[in-house]
Amino acid sequence: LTTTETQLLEKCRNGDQAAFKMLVEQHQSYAYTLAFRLLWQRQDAEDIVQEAFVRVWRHIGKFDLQKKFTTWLYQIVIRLCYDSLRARKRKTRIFQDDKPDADAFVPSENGDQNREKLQQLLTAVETLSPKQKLVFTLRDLHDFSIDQVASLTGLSTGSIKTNLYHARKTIRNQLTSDEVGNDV
Amino acid sequence: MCNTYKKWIHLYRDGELEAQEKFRLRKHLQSCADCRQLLQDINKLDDFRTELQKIPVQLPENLSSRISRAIYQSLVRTRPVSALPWYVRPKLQLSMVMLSVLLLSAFLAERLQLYYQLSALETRLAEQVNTGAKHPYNITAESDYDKWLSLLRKSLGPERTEKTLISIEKKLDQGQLDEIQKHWLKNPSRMVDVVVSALKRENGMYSTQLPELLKQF
Repeated sequence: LTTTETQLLEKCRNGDQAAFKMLVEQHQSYAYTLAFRLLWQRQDAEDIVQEAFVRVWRHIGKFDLQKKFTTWLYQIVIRLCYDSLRARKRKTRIFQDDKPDADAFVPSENGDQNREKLQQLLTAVETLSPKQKLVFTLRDLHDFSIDQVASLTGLSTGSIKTNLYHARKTIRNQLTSDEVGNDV
Repeated sequence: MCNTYKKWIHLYRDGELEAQEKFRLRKHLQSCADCRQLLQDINKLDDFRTELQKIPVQLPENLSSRISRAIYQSLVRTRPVSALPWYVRPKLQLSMVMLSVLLLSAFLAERLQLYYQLSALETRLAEQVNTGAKHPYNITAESDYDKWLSLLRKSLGPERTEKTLISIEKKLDQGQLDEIQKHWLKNPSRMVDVVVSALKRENGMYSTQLPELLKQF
């Protein structure tokens, strides 16, 4: 941790709300991107990031200043997203209506072709299990190393590699079947 | 045989393959269509990854203020109740307000009831005077005053009735007391009349003691 960040965290530990606001402004963007790419739903991502920072505020007194703050923050965001993905999977099994929708984040001027392509990508991601999605997003979209993914998720490297392998395979199959479908 | 190379293809993609293994993989790819297909698929996966990364992630404008609000709410919610001063504890505040409203309503209702009761008595008294009764003391046995006193004796008993009347007497001046002494045994209804008029005089309106006194009736 840099001295400035340590000082900021120290102030937050003493209940300084202005300092905490600065901390939020420094880290909210990456935390939101991470949550968004795991959930692909704006409102859910916003709720998760809000809840993550509330938890940080509540437990900052216990945070070890020798450790990296971002690792702690991302761990919280990832845990909340994982829980949300599992809840969504249960809900989707019942209602079939809680899937990410490309229309929600593609500007209409980008045309139908782009939107169709994006919906295809999202559908492919949706075929993954929550654990596969977690590992795939962190490793392949955020470029964290296997060891970093292990530290962020608490999964063993063996489990990460297996889930990553299956995630990539599922997406490859999905993309190939889409191509065949389009050709026909 | 191919299984090893397939694993190597994934490791190659992750940049985790040794130089010697890379060389062997390249040689294998020249002769194996399956593995070439796998590598092509993996390259497609890279395109897919890139496309996903291109999706714009726009940070909501009000996110940090929303977080600040949530933190403020969590502060209020999580602060131990005993740490708050009593007058800002939400539940206690509500109970206090409700209790105050209840007490005030009860007090006002009682005052209002007394006011009307006494006004009615005064009116009846005036009517009796105006209708030619010789004197308001000569109230008939059916009058409200007699009813009051008989009720009082019935509920409190003769001893306590007397004590109550004595406590009323303490509120009165000497002249009024003399009046009571003079008429008490002859006509108890006069007593109530005197008390009412005395208490009315005491503070322009009905005395603050009056509700308490009348409660005992």
